[in-house]
Amino acid sequence: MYRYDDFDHEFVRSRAAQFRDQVSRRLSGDLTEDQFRPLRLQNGLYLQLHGYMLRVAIPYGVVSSSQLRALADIARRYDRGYGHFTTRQNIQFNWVTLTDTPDILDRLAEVEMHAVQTSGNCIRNVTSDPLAGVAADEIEDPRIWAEALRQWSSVHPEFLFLPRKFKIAITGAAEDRAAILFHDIGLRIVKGKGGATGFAVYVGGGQGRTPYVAQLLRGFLERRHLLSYLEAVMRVYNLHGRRDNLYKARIKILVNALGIDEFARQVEAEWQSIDREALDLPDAEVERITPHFALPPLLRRPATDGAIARRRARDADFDRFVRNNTAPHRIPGYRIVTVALKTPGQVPGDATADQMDALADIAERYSHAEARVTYVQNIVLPHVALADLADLYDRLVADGLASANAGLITDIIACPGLDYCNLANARAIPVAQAIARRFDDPDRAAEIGALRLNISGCINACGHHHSGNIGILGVDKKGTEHYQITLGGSPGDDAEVGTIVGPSFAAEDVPDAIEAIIATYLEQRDSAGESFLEFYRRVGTGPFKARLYGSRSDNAPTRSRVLETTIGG
Amino acid sequence: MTLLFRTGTIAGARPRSLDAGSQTNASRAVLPLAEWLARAEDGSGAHETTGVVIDADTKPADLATLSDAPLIVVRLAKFTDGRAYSIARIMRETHGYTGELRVTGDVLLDQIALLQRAGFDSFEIAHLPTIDALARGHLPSIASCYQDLPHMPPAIRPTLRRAARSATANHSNERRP
Repeated sequence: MYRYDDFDHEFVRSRAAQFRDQVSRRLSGDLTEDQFRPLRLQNGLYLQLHGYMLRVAIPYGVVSSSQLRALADIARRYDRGYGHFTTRQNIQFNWVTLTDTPDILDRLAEVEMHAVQTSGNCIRNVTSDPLAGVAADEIEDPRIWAEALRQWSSVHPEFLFLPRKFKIAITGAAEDRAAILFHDIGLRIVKGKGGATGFAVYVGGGQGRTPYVAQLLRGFLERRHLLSYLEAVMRVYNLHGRRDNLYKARIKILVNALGIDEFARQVEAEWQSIDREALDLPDAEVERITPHFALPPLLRRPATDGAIARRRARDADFDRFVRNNTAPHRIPGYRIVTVALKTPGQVPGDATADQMDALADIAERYSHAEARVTYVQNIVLPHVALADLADLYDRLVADGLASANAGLITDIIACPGLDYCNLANARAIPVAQAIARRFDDPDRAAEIGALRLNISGCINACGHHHSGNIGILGVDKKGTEHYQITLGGSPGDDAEVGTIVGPSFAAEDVPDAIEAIIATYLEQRDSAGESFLEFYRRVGTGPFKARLYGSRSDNAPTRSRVLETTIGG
Repeated sequence: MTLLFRTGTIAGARPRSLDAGSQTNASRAVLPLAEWLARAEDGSGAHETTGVVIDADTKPADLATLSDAPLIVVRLAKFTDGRAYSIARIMRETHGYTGELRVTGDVLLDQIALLQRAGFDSFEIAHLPTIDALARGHLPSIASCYQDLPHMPPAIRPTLRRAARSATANHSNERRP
């Protein structure tokens, strides 16, 4: 993984010192809250319902054992003993104080971490494929370019006061595991003519109140031009993105107002006018960064293991874990292991300080002291020898981290919701917990199969409800928390925004509604091989509507009617 | 009271100076964009001794016509309006502008170093705590940066620095009147 040199160290220390000075000027009154807000947001500090929240970047999801221990230490010393992994490869501490924050930033700097631009109207933490560098389907490791983008975007003076926040994701694999088409800019490493790699550049994706799937801006961009081309995109957005309406300020609105062709023309004109040679990443810097992402020295291990096979045959739980939570590694004899922070009943993405320490130890013992965080709020151990799987599993069981539901209905994405967030209309966490409990029979979850269920507590869509196969959105309905359900969203290569199925449900009725949706799918699917998403794409919302709302789908049903139709039917 | 704070040459080689109390218009006449453009077209050459004041929403096509002005003042209605930074880089890097580039309006201490790196070299400041801080010699910034921009270059990793870049910057300095 990338290690800081003296220059990077100086940068993060200097940034922490700068923020310490800004905090003291806020406390002395030299800075008003309006003047201070963008400064603290650019350092990851939000003001939420109960106080300050600090969002720490885990750039492109890569985290070491020593960094996990530092996060655990911060959770204990400055928070209430836990942290929350977010949908953008960050970790949030929900109970920090303003005056402690500079000390936390110093502590992070010690372990080569920061909270630079995890919030604010600037280029946010660049996210990537959590399986980067190890996935069997990878064309090229995206982390080299993710790191280049991290540096380029950090305190880039031109792009700190954009019309609105700006999110970039990059993948180098055949399968998109970074939801790049739901980002302001999505980058996919592709092979061009003659086999040289470059980037397909997508623009204008996003969730929020106006969800869009990103459109192709440029089919092939030579690798060496990445930074100058992004400068051109950013400049067009910075100058022409709307600044008069917060809700129309994202680049997706500009792209759709101009049309992708006109937007592309403006970017091209800007790109032609700037000094590309001066702005592109020098070859020497590419060569400096690249070796940081070499595979760790993985000893040759057998590609099959009799003991593991026998354990799987006699231990159904272990077998389920291997089936659901592990994936092929580039190197035979190794597996990629997902630790799902999704034990039914727990808060999705939350980890206690003890769990972070345990993960640090486990990563050190079994995965070359490296872990990844995923946008679905899980942890990945990228380099686990097949022969170590049973030992690793037993250790995870002991630490309460062996939930074998990766990719299944209970592997829920949820935002913090009204329990923490002052934007939320409704709670997300208790709904996630209730659904996870309802479907916690592992055999039933296996029967349902691959399913992405995402919950947001408000229209800002931090819980990615638009891209869930089943999406749940918290809404305020005459002062009570209600939940609107969408179907058919997908975050991957076939990205799609979900469709609202009908009138919303009260919180206590959501598990029954999900039950009715699942029953519809299970009863009517072609075969066990037809996934929920495939089924939905074949049949549309009709059968689900009929099940949820009966024949009166044109009218908003009363809550009791919904219950009678679904549960009674 | 306003303060005109200058940062020396655009390459930032000279030490910063503080001209306490000087006024924007005291140094040079400044006209709104439309009037300045009219003067540029009247053939008298007077626009070359007259500054121009523009807003952050000035069209890129108009920016291309401003290179003869000895002083361009960009009005910043709100410190969060990031367009001023793009305007500065377009003027300096795309149009090779070497005259004085000033920012006025909602100019606050924490943005000065960023505005400088984008290409501004003078700052008209009305915010009292900012004036006090500058008077104390306190100009917050971070010492090291990842972008090798031509103005006020900070410490930068050698592999991020371009030989071609310093050649361009030297060229701009030579053209400076």
